[in-house]
Formats: sequence, C-alpha cells, structure tokens
Amino acid sequence: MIEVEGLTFSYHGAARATVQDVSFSAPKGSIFGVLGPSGAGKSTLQKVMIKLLPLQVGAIRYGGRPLAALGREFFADVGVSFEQPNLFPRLSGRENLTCLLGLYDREHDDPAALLAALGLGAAADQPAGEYSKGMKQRLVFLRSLIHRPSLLFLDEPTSGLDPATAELVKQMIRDRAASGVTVILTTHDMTLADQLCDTVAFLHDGSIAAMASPRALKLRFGERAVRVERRIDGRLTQEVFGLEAPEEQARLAEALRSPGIETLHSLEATLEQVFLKVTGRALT
Amino acid sequence: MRAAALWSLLWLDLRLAWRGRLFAVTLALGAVMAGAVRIFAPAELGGAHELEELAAAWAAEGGRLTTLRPQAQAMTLQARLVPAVICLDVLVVGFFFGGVMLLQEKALRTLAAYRVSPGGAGLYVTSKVLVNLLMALLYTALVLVIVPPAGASIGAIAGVMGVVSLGSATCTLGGIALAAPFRGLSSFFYPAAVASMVLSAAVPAYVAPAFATEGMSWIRALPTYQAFFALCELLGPGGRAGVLPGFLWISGVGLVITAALAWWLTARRVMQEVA
Ligand SMILES: Nc1ncnc2c1ncn2[C@@H]1O[C@H](COP(=O)(O)OP(=O)(O)OP(=O)(O)O)[C@@H](O)[C@H]1O
Ligand SMILES: [Mg+2]
Repeated sequence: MIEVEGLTFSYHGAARATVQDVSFSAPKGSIFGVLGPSGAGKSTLQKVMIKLLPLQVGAIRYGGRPLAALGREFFADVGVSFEQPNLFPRLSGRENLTCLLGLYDREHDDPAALLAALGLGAAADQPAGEYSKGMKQRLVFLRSLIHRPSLLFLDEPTSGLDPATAELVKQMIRDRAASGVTVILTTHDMTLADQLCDTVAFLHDGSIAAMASPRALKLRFGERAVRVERRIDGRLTQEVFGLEAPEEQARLAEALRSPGIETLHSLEATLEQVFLKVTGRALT
Repeated sequence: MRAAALWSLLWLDLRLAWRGRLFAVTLALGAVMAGAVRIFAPAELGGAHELEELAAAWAAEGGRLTTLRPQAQAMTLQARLVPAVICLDVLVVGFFFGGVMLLQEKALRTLAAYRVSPGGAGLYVTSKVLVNLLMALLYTALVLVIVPPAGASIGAIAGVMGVVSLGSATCTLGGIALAAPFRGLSSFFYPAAVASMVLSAAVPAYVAPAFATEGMSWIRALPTYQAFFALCELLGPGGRAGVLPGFLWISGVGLVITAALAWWLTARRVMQEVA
C-alpha cells in the first residue's frame, strides 16, 4: 500500500511545478496506472516516489509510514524497471540479473526460471551488450522483480516487445499483483493500461485530470451504442443503434436478424478517447 | 549482512574491472615500466669513487668535506626509480580509475539500478577502493619481482605494501570525489589531467630535492612527494627515517578528507542525479 497526498514538485529554477497537487493511493495487490503524454510529469512523479528526487510538498506513505522515515528497508522492498535499459554490457544476461542480489537480505526467484519464462534462456550467458532492444527490455523487467519486491515500479514495460512476449510480461505483472505486489505502472500505452490496471490516473501538465477504473472511465465518457455494417443489394450501409432507449434496442434486434451483416462495432470509448475528452489533447 | 553485501558488490566490481581490462592495463603498465627500469637504468653506483677523489683533492687543498646526512647511503639509479614506477600507478592511474569507474556507470545508467537497491553510497565507494587497492598491490608485487630491491627485508616489503595501500585508497577516493560532479569521461579528462600534473610535480622534486624549496615547498605536502620518499626509504638505505611519520601523517589526513569528500559527493550528488 502506497499513498500519495498533495504531492507537488518543482525542478530547480522551473517557472511552474512539474507535478501539481497529486493524490492517490494504490492498495496492496493493485495495479495503478499513471498515464499521460510525454512531458506530463510521470517520470518525475515516479522519481519522487522512489526517493530519487526530494519530497518538497505533500506526503508519501508506504505501509502507513512516511517515506522519509524509511531507510534502506524501503529499497529492499522496491523493484524498479527503467524505461531505457541500463545493463552492464560486458556481463551476461544471467550476471546482470543476479549481480545486485547480494545486496538484498531476502529470498529471491530462480534466475534460470525467470530467464526461461521470457525466452532468454538460450541467451543467458551471452553478454547483455549483444542483446537486442527487446531482450534488454525483458532483462531489465526481470531484474526489477527477481528479489521479490512488494512494490514494483514499471516504466513502459512492454514497449518494443512483440505481441507474444508482451503478453507474457503482462501475465507476469498480473501474477505478481495477484500474489500481493503493488504495481505502479507508467505508460503511454492505453491498451496496456486498460488490460492491466485496476485504477488509472490521467496526468496532464502535472496534475491528475481523471482517476478511476478503466471500465468506469470508458462508461462515463463513451457512447453506449453499436454500429452495424450491412450489405444490402450489393451496397454497404452503416447504421448506429443506441443501447439506452428500448426502441433503439428493438431496432438493433431487428437489424441483427436481417441478412447481409458484415461487421458489428461497439462504440464504447477507448481509454485513448477518454483521455482526449478529459484533457483536450492527444497522447504522443 | 553488510559484510555479505560488500562481498557481493566487490565481486561485481572485480568482474567489471577485469572485463573492462583494467587489470590487464595495470599489469601491462607495470611490466613495461619495471622492464624499462631493469634494462636501461644502471644497477651499479656511478660516481661514488669520483666523490671520494673529489674529497681527497679538496682535503689536499686544506678544505674539509662536511656530509650533511652521514647515515644516507648512495642508491643506484635503478633502486631510485623503483619508487617512482610504483607511485606512477598507485597515485596517478589509481586516481584516474576511481573516476573512470564512477563515470562509466553514470553513462551506462547502471548507477540508477544500484541507487534503487539497498546498497548505499558508503558500500559503493568502499568496493571501488578495494578493487583499486587489489590492482595497486598486484602492480607493486609485479614491479618488485621484475626489479627486486637489493637487501630489502620482509618488513620493508610489507611497509611498501602498506604505503601503497594507503596511497591507493586515498587516490581512488580523490578520483571519485573529483569525478562526482562530471557527467562523462570527456569533461572529467581536463580536471583529472590538471590534478595528476599537480600530483606529479613531486617527480622533479624527488629526482632533485632542491626543486621543492624556494617557494615550491608546497610540493612537500603532496601525498606523492611523501610517498616517493617513504618508498625510497623502505626500499633502499635512504637514511631519512623521518619521512615515514611524515608520510603517515599526510596520507592519514588525506585519506580522511578524501573519504569524507568521496562519500559525501557520492551520496548527495551522484546518487541523486541518476535515473
Ligand atoms: N532534471 C530535470 N530538470 C528540469 N526539468 C526537468 C527535469 N526532468 C524533467 N524535467 C521537466 O519536467 C517535465 C516532466 O518530465 P517527465 O520526465 O516527468 O515527463 P514524462 O511524463 O515522464 O514524459 P515521458 O513520457 O516522455 O517519459 C518536462 O517538462 C521536463 O522538461
Ligand atoms: Mg518518463
């Protein structure tokens, strides 16, 4: 459980605060998504939360205790996966994964099993400097969780991964959360956030523009309707049916019984569209 | 727990230094320098008989030769160069390596991964010092094997290793402290070059002691100057036992200052600007 209250952070000499009055809490075992365009302040927020930047205004509590009161035991409990892979190029994948383990006084996962789980088994003894971008990304992700942290910070964990590997990573994140790990996920990827997060916060110019579960946001900001494409007499026609009014639903049922249906689309909003509505700008 | 953590970090730093060829460079330098001294520097005393002739001629004229340091014995050029070869690595190279190790990890951003572990600045700096210390001791041993000191006792060799250890630790710490504010190797190069030039001002003073007088006496406060004469004292019959306490005093103070600086800058500066 990590709680952030009224957090404001300004870089030295900056005209305005980069993070402004941000409050949220991520309960144990939940996945909390921080979404926002480039420059919104996501990384800055994360850096304050992992004590890389000083806490200026506001409060952060981990397990009920203020962050400032926690020393090394905080870092023993935290795992961080960085957006840009930072590995020792001359050490093998396995060595990179295990080289800092001796600093933790706790049980850890089996490195070989982790490497194999993300398809790095064959490359385990190859220098990390020779890894592809996606391989490095996977290794950094594994390094963040090998020491079994209770609080996991992930920055774009699936960027640059092929869909199949991304799916494996997502499943590992879900498994960790299910076993009680609190996950703070920073991303631009709305689909990823939608699939993983229990709660998402849209960060816009440093403050939270909206915060709720992805489903609640999509319902609140989307249109409850269905678009039906039919081919009638060789011509393609489109019709939109609302899901609220009973007569619209009856018309939809009728349309579905008629022949020539080519496609059906739910017009429920995507998180991306919600973001656009909430902030008036697109993600980049 | 902290000891176990230090061992594991040390093991990591040793592998990094080994694969980064720092051991190879150090030992190759030692072999080349000591080899050159062995081959080119005369191992016999030159000019001693000339001095005797001069004294005799002087006495014949009715003059009297006063020996300023009667206990001092002449050293061969070879023996006199060995301390210089040892100091070169320990003080100048060790100084560079400390900074280079730190800046490489800054550039790779692996420091950020370390920063979010329970490691801490003290452990980080200690491990770097120990790796450089090991390299310095191996280098010194190699030099002493290639150019064996005539008649130096086991105690004297142990003393040399002690002087080297103290000098190496101080210089690694100095290198880390100096490198801490810099982003990369290229910007660190100039201050490091200036610092090693200052440190090597002790070389002319060692070769010709008069260099360190007449307004240049600050040279005598350099750890290099003290180390040169301390090593010279230990390896040969230098007859200036007084320099050993001087060396211990200056390096002890230097060690405390550089350790405090290196730790403080690493904790407050390096560890804060990563990620
Ligand atoms: N060290 C720094 N000093 C001054 N300003 C900074 C510093 N780091 C970031 N900023 C500024 O703070 C703002 C937020 O940056 P931040 O890195 O938190 O954004 P982000 O949301 O993580 O973006 P991205 O998605 O591109 O990673 C930007 O305007 C950036 O210029
Ligand atoms: Mg960022």
